[in-house]
Amino acid sequence: MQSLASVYLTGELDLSNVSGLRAKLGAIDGPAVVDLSEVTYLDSTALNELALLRRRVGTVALVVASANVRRTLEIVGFGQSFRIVGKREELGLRDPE
Amino acid sequence: MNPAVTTDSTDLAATIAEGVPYHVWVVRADGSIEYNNRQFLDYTGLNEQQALHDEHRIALVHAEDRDALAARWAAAFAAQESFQAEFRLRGRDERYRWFLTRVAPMRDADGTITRWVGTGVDIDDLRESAEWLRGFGETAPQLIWVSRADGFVEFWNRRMIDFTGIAPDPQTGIDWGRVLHPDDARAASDAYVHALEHGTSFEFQYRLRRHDGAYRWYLARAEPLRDAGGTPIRWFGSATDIEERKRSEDAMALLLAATGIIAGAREIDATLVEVSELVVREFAESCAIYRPGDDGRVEISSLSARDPERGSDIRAMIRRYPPRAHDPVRTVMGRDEARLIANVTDEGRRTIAHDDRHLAQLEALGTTSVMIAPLTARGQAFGALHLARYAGGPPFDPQDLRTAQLLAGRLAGAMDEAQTRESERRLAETFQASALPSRLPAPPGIEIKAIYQAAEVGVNVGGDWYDAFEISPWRLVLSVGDVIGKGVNAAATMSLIRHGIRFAAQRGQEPAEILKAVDAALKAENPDLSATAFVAIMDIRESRIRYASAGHPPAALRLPLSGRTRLLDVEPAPPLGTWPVNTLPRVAAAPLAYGSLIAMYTDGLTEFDRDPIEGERLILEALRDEAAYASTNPARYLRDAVLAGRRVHDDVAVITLAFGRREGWTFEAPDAMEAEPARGKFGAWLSGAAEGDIYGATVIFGELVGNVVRHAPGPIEMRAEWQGSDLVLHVLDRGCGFAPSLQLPTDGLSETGRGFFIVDALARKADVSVSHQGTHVRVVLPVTRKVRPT
Repeated sequence: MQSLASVYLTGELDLSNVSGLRAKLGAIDGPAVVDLSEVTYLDSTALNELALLRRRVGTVALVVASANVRRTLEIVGFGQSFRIVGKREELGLRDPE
Repeated sequence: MNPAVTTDSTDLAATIAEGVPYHVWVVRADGSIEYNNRQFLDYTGLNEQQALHDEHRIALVHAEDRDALAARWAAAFAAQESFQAEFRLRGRDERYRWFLTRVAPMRDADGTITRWVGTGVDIDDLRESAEWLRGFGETAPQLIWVSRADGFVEFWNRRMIDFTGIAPDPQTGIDWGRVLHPDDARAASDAYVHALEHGTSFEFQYRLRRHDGAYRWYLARAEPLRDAGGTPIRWFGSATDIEERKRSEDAMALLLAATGIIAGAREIDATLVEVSELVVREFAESCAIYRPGDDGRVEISSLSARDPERGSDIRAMIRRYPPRAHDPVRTVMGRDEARLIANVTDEGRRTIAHDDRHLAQLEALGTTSVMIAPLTARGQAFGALHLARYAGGPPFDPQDLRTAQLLAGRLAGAMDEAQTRESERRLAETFQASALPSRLPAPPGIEIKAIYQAAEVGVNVGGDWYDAFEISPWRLVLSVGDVIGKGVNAAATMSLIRHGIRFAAQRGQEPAEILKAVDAALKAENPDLSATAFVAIMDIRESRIRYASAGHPPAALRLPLSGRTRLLDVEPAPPLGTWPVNTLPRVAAAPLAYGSLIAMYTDGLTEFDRDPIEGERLILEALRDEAAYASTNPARYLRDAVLAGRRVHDDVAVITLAFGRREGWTFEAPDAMEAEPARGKFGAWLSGAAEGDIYGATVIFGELVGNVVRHAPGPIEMRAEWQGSDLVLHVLDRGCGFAPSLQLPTDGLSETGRGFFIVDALARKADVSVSHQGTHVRVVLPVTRKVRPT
């Protein structure tokens, strides 16, 4: 499996810090893993940015630890377009960061 | 007796020769003159003998035409062919006239010429008018045409040909469709056909296409030339250039309309928007007003565009790239001179572009022509007016710049006036506010809100008040009133009355007695002034309100849940200070159920249009909306709903009391973005008061705030309140365009459109209602009340 870019996000992702999120995701230029294990809050602001990323790079995997965050992702059907896992290991990547 | 004419064989010929209205003569084969008819002799004044001799005849030909004629005759005679010539012949009255002469040989059976017959036709009048007409047609400054009765164009004068670049085709004439503006062609054609059919004159204003493709306005008129019977046989038309006049008229109309808008009683922001909308209808394709913001920035205050999509693009671009130092908007602002950039150049774009991306956006926009006029009045720079045209329209010219300057002058005047009014108004408001209660009571379950808005100075400032105070843990007094009169005296009197009511109420008096006491005090203190007042005493334990009025409008009540409204009406006593002896005002009472909302106000709220009935109707209508009760400031909500941005000439005071308000959580901010950080506090409050899907509730909160920030940036009001076992979250904004989608976007990777879907999925219930006031979102959160709040 090709080496994927990895991005680690933390805390609350909402309208007040969307520009930071946009910058982090904007720097990705290929298939990527977005690690949301330490994200405590996420709403459609972040969902929109993730959709943009997915459209741009084609393949995105999400690591989601919080059941709440996962639920939000599932409500909007992101399970269809993203690979969602509970732990990074499930992706079977050879090289950890 | 004419020797060439014999009485028998040539009788008919003789009759003809002597009868026709031409000159006729006959020349023998050898060139000598044989015969001249009577017309010739009469005209020339020669006698029969003289007319037979060449030297007499040639002497009558005009000197300038003589040689040519002689040469022509000699050549024709030698070649034995006919010829015709025009020359001037002197008559017996010594004046020359033009004649068209034809000379033709007559041959015998062998082909030998036996005689020559000449005829001469007087064409002097015809030539003169033809000359005159041609001269007129060529030199007249108008465009001239002549057409037949069926509309076929026979003649276009030089100017017409030069202007349009085309000439009438002898076979097909002119296709007017080629030269008339497409928007005018149909109507003009109809009018012309009508004139042709009815033989009436034709007059029309249309745009004519110049040879280079540009159009100019012309006033066309055509008159028929009739025959003896009155039937038109020709049409003579002319068209005069009225482009300048038309442009002046249009500019005048624009300025007049703009002046009308400015004179209307609207808030300055609404006025600026309305004038911009007017300007982009015909004069420019985009109209932007720039104003200096805080800390040296230049911001766009309003923007209108004929094409709304282009308008959004421009707005977004300017928000991202505001004008910098070299931008003409900045250099014009604060000066006296307006600037015309008739043709935008690449270099011009590079001057204002912040970076390559900005430059690309500017190029994509396709601006072709720009005018910038300073909005300056009395030496103060209020901003700049920016007008632009885009691909396809004619460039602006100096005449347009004059119009833009006049327009900017009027706008700046309005902005100056508004600023003066506003600062004076704020001064009065501050003064008044210092005389109003600094704190409003907040007993448990009761929320009292109030607003006061001063009118413009010079009209009816000062004198309105509101008040609310507790006289015991379960009794609350509310009052509003309006001192009739102006000036400082009125303000002082207002204070006197307010405190008089407090004093009397604290002594345990009922509404009627309170009013009576104040009436007496007013008469004693200030006999020249009077005031209206409405006093209400609320008993929380009994859940009742008792009230009385002295010449004041009734209060309004909103019933819980159903939202039905009614007036708290009571027969009013006369205004305070004017009561006849022994007046005892009526007192009325009403029960108050939990969840009710009472509103008391002064007549500035209802009488802005001099129609208090209509004003009261507007209050009740606004109250009926649940948003009025959910609002974090129902007094302000009502004021906004009823006045809707109108300027008022009277003070306005509104005080509202919500009875039986459940504990909850509220938040309001002038900018919805400030609500985002409040989510944390909301979450904390919620964790203490409720249990269930707390996380889901905070996501709902976040989505609704995000929604307002994106679709209706501006003020936001949020209230979470228990309604029975439900916790209802209300979000109010001032936007009207939001139509929430309850479905996910069909494109799974769309970058927007999920917010409300998430809200609907997480909430127990979600509703949206939109009014001209704004949008009210009402969501039942997925939580239940904690038995023992923590």
